[in-house]
Amino acid sequence: MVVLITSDDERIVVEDDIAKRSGLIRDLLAAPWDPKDGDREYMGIELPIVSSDVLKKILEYCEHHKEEPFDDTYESEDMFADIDEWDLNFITADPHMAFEIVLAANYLEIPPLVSLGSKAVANMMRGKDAEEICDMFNIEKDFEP
Amino acid sequence: MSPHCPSCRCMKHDLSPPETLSQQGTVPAVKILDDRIKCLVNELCQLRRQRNTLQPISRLPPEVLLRIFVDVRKATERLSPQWIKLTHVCSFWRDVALSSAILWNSPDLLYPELAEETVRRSRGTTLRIMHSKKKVFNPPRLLGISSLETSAPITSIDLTGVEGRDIAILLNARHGQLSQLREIAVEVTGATEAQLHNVLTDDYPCLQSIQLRRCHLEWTSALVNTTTCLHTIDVHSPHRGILGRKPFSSVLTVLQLQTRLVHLDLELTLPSLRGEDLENGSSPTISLPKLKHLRIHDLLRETHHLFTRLRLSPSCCVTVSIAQSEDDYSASSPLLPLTESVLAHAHTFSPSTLAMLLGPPFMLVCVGTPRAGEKRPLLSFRWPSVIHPQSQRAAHALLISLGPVIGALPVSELSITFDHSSSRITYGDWRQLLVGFEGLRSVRLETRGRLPVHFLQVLADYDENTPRLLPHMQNLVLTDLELGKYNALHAIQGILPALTRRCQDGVFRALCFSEVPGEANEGIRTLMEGVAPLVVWGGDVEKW
Repeated sequence: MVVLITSDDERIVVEDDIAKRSGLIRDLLAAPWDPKDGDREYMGIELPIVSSDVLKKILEYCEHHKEEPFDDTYESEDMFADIDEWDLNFITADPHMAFEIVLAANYLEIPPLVSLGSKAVANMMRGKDAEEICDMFNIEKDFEP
Repeated sequence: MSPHCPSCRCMKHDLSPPETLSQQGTVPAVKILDDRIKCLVNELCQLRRQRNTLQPISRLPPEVLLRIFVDVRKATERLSPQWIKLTHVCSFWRDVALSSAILWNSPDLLYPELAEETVRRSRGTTLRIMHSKKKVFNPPRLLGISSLETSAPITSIDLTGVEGRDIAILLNARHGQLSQLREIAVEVTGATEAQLHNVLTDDYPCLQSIQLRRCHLEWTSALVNTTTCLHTIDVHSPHRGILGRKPFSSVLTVLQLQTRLVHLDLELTLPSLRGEDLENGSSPTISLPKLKHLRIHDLLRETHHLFTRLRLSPSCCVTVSIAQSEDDYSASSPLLPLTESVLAHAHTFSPSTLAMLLGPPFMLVCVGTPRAGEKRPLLSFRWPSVIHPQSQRAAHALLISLGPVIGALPVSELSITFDHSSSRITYGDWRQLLVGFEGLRSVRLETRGRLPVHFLQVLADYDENTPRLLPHMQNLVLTDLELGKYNALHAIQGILPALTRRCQDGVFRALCFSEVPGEANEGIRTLMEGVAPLVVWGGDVEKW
């Protein structure tokens, strides 16, 4: 088991196989560990930019896909055409969470989830003009043509 | 540090004009004010930039932002170049977009000036040439795009609304850049198949995908008769036209070579079967183990001949439809064997939903795995409505004989869409058809305003001698009953006895309506409450 420590200091215990869906965690677990640094499981792995809410969602995704090989290809003309229905429901359930998931998945190095989340964010933008996108993400045009 | 702005020497944030302005004359004063405006705009931009960095979206690293941009572009570029507005959102987005050559590899020939700039920004990336809309294609303008002269190889050509001769002009002019062509997608206008055929006989060693819309494919052409591993063949002809001259075996020969095909979509493009094709019972079987999507729409005999020779993976989504004729319902037609073959494929995976589309003649059987975002049809079945009474009887007899075949499928949900031909399905038809559908737990009736009176009566009629149909049905969903109409209450009263009877069977749990009755028809709600253990109204029906 692996203990993951979130940005809001929650300790979440996860099976190795699920945690290792993350390239970051896989690398950290593969790195040599000096016993003088304490008990590895007790010390846990700190994820300073991932909140517990987001991590739980990501672990839900990893659990669902734990049997599958990694794949970073969601190439398709139709943005959601080839996405599994479970994935689609997972990523579109909460638009704000989709955005947080992309950020965290990128940090945790989970390529298929980054790809899935990117598509969800892209879907939020399609058909909107620059002003509408600015409003959506609360940003302002900060340059003059 | 000086509080003065270095460009206009005003006090920063001081909006009152300098005292000296009025003494310097109009022209210098305007110059000073312009400088000040420029300075303030710059400062405003800097402040906005700082503000933007604090927003969550700015936490996205450039590589993820770029991935999102590529996704937006892919999803919209065939409709318009509007995705380019992403570069107008903020300076960070603009920097990311303009510094990413890969984002600019799809010049749209519909907008030559934009295409010119796009190719320039692609900075040597391999290109996907597009002409996105059905609008006048202008080869001279295309050939005038000077940046194409020095661009990198073209890997993809995607042209809509062009004529065959225009494609010839394009391909001949860019022939030297086509050695890496991987995808060709063409939708032509006008009757220019012959010219197109001449152009497309070229051999492209890297070709993977061929999509020809409103084109005739020559199955003997070098374009497809190649050992190059194609993953997509997608050909839609407007009519069967000249295909009769080619032997059917040429299709089989091509497909035998393409064992790595992932996508095969053929519409009205199969050569006509001839006597020797039919006599040759030992036609080869064709194994397409990687195929994920198969769609065939053609005449019955040709479709049957091809489909029954294909060996597919269980995960392959199959859609087979027939360009129907009256003869298809004769006793000797291969309609039943074809239908059974397609349905047999449905046994190899586990669809949970069966959809019956009671529509005009067109689709015979559709079997498929779900596409993302689409809950149905996973497997759909259309009730044919043929005009000649004899054929109609034969068609109905056929479908009723298929009842047990369909009913044996591992499905738990049935979705039925009604339309104008639904009234042809009699009480007796329904009883015969549904008798084998024992495993269904949920039934969804897309009524389009037509109350399925016979269907409900069949469900409600049972006693010691008559078995109860759909014995495990727990949920019934009725959509689009048009409950707002003035006579809806009267219509509902007509089906109330059947519903009430069925809801008393101890198995039934939920009755769901996709609408909420309006104020004028509030009586419908009163009528229904209490009929079933649970009655659901409105939007919540989707989860059922």
